[in-house]
Amino acid sequence: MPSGQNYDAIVIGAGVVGACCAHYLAEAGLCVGVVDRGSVAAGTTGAGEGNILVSDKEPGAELDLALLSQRLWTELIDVIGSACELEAKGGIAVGYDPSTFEHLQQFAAKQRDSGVIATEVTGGDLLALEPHLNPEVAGAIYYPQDMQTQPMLAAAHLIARGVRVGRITLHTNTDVVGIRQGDGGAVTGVETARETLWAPIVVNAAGTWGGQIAAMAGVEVPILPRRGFILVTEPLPTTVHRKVYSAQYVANVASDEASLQTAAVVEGTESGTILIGASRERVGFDRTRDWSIVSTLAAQALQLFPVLEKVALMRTYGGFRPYCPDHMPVIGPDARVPGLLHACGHEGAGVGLAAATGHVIAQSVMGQTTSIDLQPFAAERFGALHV
Amino acid sequence: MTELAAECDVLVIGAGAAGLSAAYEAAADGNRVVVIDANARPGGQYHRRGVKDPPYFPAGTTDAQRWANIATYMGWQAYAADLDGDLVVVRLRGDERHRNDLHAVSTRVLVVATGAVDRQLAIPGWQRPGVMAGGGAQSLIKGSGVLPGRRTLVTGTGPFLLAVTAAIVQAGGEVAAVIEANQPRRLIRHAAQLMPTGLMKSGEALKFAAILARHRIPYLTGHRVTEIHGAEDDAAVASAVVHRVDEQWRPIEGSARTFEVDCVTLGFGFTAQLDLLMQLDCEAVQSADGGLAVCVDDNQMTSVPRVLAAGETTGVGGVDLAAVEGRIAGIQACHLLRTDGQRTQPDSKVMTGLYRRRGHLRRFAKALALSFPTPTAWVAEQTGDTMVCRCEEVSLTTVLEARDDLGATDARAIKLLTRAGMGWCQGRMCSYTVEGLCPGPTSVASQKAAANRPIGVPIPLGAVAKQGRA
Repeated sequence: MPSGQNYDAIVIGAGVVGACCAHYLAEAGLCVGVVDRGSVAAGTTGAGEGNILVSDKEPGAELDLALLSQRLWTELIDVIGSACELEAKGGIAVGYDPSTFEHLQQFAAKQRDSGVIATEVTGGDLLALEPHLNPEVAGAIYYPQDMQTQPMLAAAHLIARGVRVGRITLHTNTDVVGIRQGDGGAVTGVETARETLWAPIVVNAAGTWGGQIAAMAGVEVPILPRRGFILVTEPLPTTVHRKVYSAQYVANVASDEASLQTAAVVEGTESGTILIGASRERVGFDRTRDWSIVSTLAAQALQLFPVLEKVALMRTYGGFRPYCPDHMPVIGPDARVPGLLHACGHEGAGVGLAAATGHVIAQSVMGQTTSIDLQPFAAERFGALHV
Repeated sequence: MTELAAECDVLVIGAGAAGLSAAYEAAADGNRVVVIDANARPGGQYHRRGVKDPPYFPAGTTDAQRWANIATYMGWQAYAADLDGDLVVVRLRGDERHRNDLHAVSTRVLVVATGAVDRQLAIPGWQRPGVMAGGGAQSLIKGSGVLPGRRTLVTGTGPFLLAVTAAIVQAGGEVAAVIEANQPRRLIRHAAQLMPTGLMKSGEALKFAAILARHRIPYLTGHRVTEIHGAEDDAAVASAVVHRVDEQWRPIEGSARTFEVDCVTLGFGFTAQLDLLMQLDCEAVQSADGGLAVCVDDNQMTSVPRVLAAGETTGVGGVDLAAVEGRIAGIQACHLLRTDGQRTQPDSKVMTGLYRRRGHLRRFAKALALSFPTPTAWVAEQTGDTMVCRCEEVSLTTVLEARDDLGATDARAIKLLTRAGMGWCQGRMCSYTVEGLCPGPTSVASQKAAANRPIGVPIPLGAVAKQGRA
């Protein structure tokens, strides 16, 4: 046997998606190595809001995945306990004027057919749900299934639990420099800057870097960064109870625009701070801040919650969502490289979709029928065969 | 509030020795120079002035007409700096009473002379009222004439402890003892570098020695404060325990002694204030004291064009070095602003003198830093309920769990998993402690991440929102 460590499966990426993949693979009885170039949750997971949403998804494969994930997350809380700050807080999509509210109503009607719970709320009922919301808005849809978690803690605790029971080995600060392939191109392990880690199964959960990992195995997976900024306020007594966003947010999530788009997304956290998003723009890996984004996000948040006017903005953080041209993640075995599976390209929905992604990856590795048809998520859908 | 200029040729952030020296030199060609400082009066930390004190001008800056052309705006905090084509835009907020006043200044050349803040380390009880940074105590006395306590224990390391002691006793306060964690024999190892400038500074040292002798203040070297006690959990300081320590500052068993005091100052060196420079993505290095410093060339230019730095931001080195660096930065600012035809080399004799003096002072600062190091391995060995991050109330146990059980390998991961450094002070208090608790030596990348504060001071959302419409 060649030197280096042996695993049943290697997961590249210790973000929330990688952590969920490792967790479900370990639950299936496999010995899993998790490799990350940095610390746990250091990439997109550590730059997000921790949303587990069904509300922002159109009916289709991604919504089915989101609904499955939402159920699985509530089960995961039994596994990792309260540490991940999972909160079934519900989401509220707000229509400022009657016409946007009408759009929201039509969108919700379609979602209901797919199993989403969506309730129209207006006037006093809306203010009862969210007392500080601007009373002038036309109406809103309440989505009780929307949840929030602290994704860094969720990822870290899922991996830590696997380590404790002896199923997961974590390799942090470990750069993957190559994918080992044997006969017929089947993967045999990964080459790191330090050593070779051997396994017949390699899961690419590298998020924004998923395309680079795929290229190491000689296949193309088109994943690009879509930049986002989030503003963080000083801690307050609970002022925003749920995840509240304007109708424009749903349109932006699905948009193909490269230029800057912003839509207010406002939510409280367990620590009392309020997070204000969300901006989306395709500018590569440029981290340069554009101050106009900060003011625009602040103005849009105040439109939803005028009460926040005197609240201090403490900091901003930003990151890159890994997105594919059709806004769908890449999940499942790569038919071109035996033993290689992808679990990346979740864009801004990685936390929400992570549980279901890990679940179906494990099912696929174990040769079981997956709970969700993975065809729409196949890496080969983009056409190009080999890089 | 005074109407601020929207644009200028040279914007200097910080009205201390470095900033004022830079401003004076930069104004030589008739450039429009603006100086901004968060404090009420110019002078900076060293030359801090009370309301009744005469104004401070750096030595040799005698041309009153030139000062008259320099616009100095006090009570403004620079919270963000961004490049905008050939200009640098610096965003300002008014002081605590004017938090809604926001302003932006576009400048052709930026000089960052924002100084340094006290470096802190977590010790059991350091969150109690009555515990403060040495520099904080000094500012309180110099700026407001207020004593930090009736009886103070001055602790930490470095010659700055003596400056704090002098400030307290000269203001009529009592110092129970000076607790220096390092051994003076370390000075001998670096004697060659310390000697030339040290002789120059020996007058200051003798003055401090005289103060200690006159007031019979014990000066305990190789000792460290290990616990700070009060009547109950959140009560003010009533006493402090001091231990003899080894070279790594680990307490030696059986050496404890208790001081009855109502104030403890902590001072473990300084951390350069690099917010603006990190926002601009300037290159940085680790300096001899283990802290982060911005990289500058011979003429105080950072890696970002038209952005210069002087004083403690380039490595903590004291007021004399800050003034020299400020002068060089100001001269270079003038040079950068001259159009090609007018461009002349600065007087080489003057420059040679300034470079030489800066070289001496930098070598002295480095030798001092090596003589008074701040090891951190002992921090992790303290009681688990020691508060690491006071803003977010994160205990040592929580940080060690993140490191040992949750896979956090650097300060950023510890922050994300524990909230240490996410609170009101944005990690200014706890980042050195957290870095010290990380496995392995601290990397520049990790220090840069910790020093990267996208917004320097909290700003009301309403004011931010309005800014976009302006």
